[in-house]
Amino acid sequence: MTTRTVTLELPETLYARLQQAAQATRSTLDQVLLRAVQIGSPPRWDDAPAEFQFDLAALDRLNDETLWQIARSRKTEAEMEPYQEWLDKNANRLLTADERDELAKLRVEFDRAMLRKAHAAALLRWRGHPVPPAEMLPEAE
Amino acid sequence: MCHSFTPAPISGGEHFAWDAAATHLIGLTPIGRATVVALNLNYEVIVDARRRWVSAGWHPPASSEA
Repeated sequence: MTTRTVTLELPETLYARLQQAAQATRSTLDQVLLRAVQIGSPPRWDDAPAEFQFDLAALDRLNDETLWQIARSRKTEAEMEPYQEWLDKNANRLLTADERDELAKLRVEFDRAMLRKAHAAALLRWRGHPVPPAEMLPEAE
Repeated sequence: MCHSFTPAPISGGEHFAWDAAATHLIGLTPIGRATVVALNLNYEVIVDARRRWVSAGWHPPASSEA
């Protein structure tokens, strides 16, 4: 793993607390600082399935307004209807092999939309925004 | 009418509970355990989404019985 060196000026009180934490846990100050940074870092994207990681990583570079649009996004009834119909047919084993493939693709796209929306909300919260309950978010324009 | 792709309350509080991280639904009864398996309620992507919903403060829903 490659590393980068950063020079950071800390307030004296914060430095003292981190130093005390290092002594109490028999760690180095570097280890304590690294842990603090890891805990406080933006929501990770590398825990998601590989096929979605690129989509989630890309959200790191978006501004707040764009993230809000994603967090508010919804699938319309018209978009959901064919999916639900295929799910019902699949439950009754009425889908052809091609239709099952299409259903699998649709599911991946819906999973992608769900994860992007969830990740956008988590990022906004991390950036310090109060995120209202999901059901109270106005629909994206 | 839209699908919001956000957490929904789980009914059937006597059958289900969330694990400590609120990412996995646990079956408390034979019915609950069978339902979790039959409906694949802890599939990988939904667990990943729940982890983010927790970070955002969206999950577990206040009205959830589970």
